[in-house]
Amino acid sequence: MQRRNLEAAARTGWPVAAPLIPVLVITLLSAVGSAAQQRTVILMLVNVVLVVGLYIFVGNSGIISFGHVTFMAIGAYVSGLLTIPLITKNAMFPHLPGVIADAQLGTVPGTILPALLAGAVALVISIPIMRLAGLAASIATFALLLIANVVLGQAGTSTFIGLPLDTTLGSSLGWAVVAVVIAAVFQNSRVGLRLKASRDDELAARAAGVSVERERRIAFVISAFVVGIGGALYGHLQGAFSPETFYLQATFLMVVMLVVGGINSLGGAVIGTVAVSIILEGLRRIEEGVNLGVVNIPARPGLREVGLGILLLVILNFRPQGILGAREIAWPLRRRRRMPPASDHSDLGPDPVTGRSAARQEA
Amino acid sequence: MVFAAVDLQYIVQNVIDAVSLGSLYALIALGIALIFGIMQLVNLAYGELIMVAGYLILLLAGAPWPLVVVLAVAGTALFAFGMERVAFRPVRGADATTLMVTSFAVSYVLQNLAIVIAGSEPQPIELGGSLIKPLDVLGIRVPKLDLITMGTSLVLVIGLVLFLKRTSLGIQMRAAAEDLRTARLLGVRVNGVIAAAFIISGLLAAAIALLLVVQTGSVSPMMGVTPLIVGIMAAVIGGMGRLAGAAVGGFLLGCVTIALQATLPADIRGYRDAMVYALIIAVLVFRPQGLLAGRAPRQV
Repeated sequence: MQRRNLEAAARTGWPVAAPLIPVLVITLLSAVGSAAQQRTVILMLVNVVLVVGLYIFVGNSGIISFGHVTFMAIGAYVSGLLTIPLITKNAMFPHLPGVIADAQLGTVPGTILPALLAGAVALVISIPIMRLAGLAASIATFALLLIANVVLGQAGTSTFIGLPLDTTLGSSLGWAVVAVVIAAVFQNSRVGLRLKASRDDELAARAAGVSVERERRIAFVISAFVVGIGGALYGHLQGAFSPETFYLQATFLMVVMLVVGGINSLGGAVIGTVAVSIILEGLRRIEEGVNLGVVNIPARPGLREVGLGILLLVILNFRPQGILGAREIAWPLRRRRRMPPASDHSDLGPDPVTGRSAARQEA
Repeated sequence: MVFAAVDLQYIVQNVIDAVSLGSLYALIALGIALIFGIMQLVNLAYGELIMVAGYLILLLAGAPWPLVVVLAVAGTALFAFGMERVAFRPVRGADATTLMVTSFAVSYVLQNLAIVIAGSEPQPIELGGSLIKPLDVLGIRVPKLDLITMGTSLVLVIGLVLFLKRTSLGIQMRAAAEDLRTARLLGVRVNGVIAAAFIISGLLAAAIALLLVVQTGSVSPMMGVTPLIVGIMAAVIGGMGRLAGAAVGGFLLGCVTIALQATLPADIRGYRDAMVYALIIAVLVFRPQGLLAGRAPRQV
């Protein structure tokens, strides 16, 4: 009996733990590496937090969001305002309101408070936006990104500096695990399951009594909270940023990481982030110029981004469901009863007549 | 009396600005709406067609201007055709979100390719400098470029309407936009129609690039981003995928932009664009069929 319980626990816990194994291995390896290597790995861990945060909304609702960088920006800017040493802060922003001007928070509250604010902002934004579905919602999130860029450009200084550099290997790993656990708990909760049902078939879910807008709003807020944490961590890793940091480039990177791993899978979000981070690191070395003795490839800024874009195009072309598809990583030991494979209509390919996918036809 | 005259002049000046910007925006919106109507693709790489046209103009700098115009237009149309074949045909029929992400990737690749090849700095271009000079009409300064913008937009919009209404290919295109499956069953060659739509969007992009290059005197890898945003917003206002709606939507967007610019107090003028974007979200929420549509909302 106890053995069966253990096995059940392993089966539930494994999909969450498995994608974290490569993350853990890379982190441990880098702990003995150089400072530069550690920085790269910390950035990867921060990206895990950001992409898992994005996944909580996008993966479960099926609506791609181009606006989540807004919450990353809120995390980074607000965390900066709350944690920059008082002397620097009062010199940089002499007109802050009293509470913020005097605030000098530690690392953990300086990460959580901005994330809560990001969640609160998301709640307000979700009231209009979550009434929309599909493409219209995506366009609205794109508008959100543009609005955030204008507001940051107007309200903020062009560069924001002086954040304490306290995102360490340990803290970023801890937050990455927290993010994955939040996502796992959410997607197996009632709200998460109802939202997934609406993603797979919105009409049927509505007919079964699911309040799709409500579930989407909840996911949006939790997602913004986690992305806000990622933003705060990012701010404390870089120490400085500008409004352009939180614009199309960052949006694109998050989308690539999610799509490469598999947009509908938590394991995919983590694996995709790791895979893209490794590829980016390789591309960065090429971009800086490669001297192979005979062949000398000169430094070419922009090459890394071109490689990243082509990677996404190739994935969309040959494996649009991403590395993991909609699956999670299953417990490897034999199963007691065989489950039917998850129906995945994308294997059928597009309808020869309309070119639309079979899944759409049935809907 | 003097005040009244100044005011009138100020108003007329702004109206001219609004009409000029509005007609440019209408042109931009058409390219987005045309592709979306036929294949449900929000083409985020449309701005990069404008950018490619800009760099073609840079390459051709020094040649006589009619040659520049012809070659830039032809080159961009060819590029748009190639873009469809390489990037969009393989994912055709995927859901609208996948298509949008694909176009995001195409846009990103092209922007950065431009940075790799030409560097990220804007590069100056000498083209049509004399067109910037204003024409004095009854005490009101009208830049010649404004007149050319209005004229070009009018000609292209009328040309497009005639093409869609009178030619066989145009009618097939409208049929495909209405119902791709049925149109195909009735013998419309989807590949040809989509290729034609991309070629037309390339033509429009080149026209826009020419106008923008004369106006700004430079090209840069990111020059397509703002027009793209304008195009999407205008298409939303007009009801995604409706050509007439998009053109009118673009025109309205231009007018609203100038009106806000002229009337907002200076200290919040910087937020003008944010207000316009918020307006777009409001349109999506309250009038998903667009501001101008009478019939039932289209499922997007």
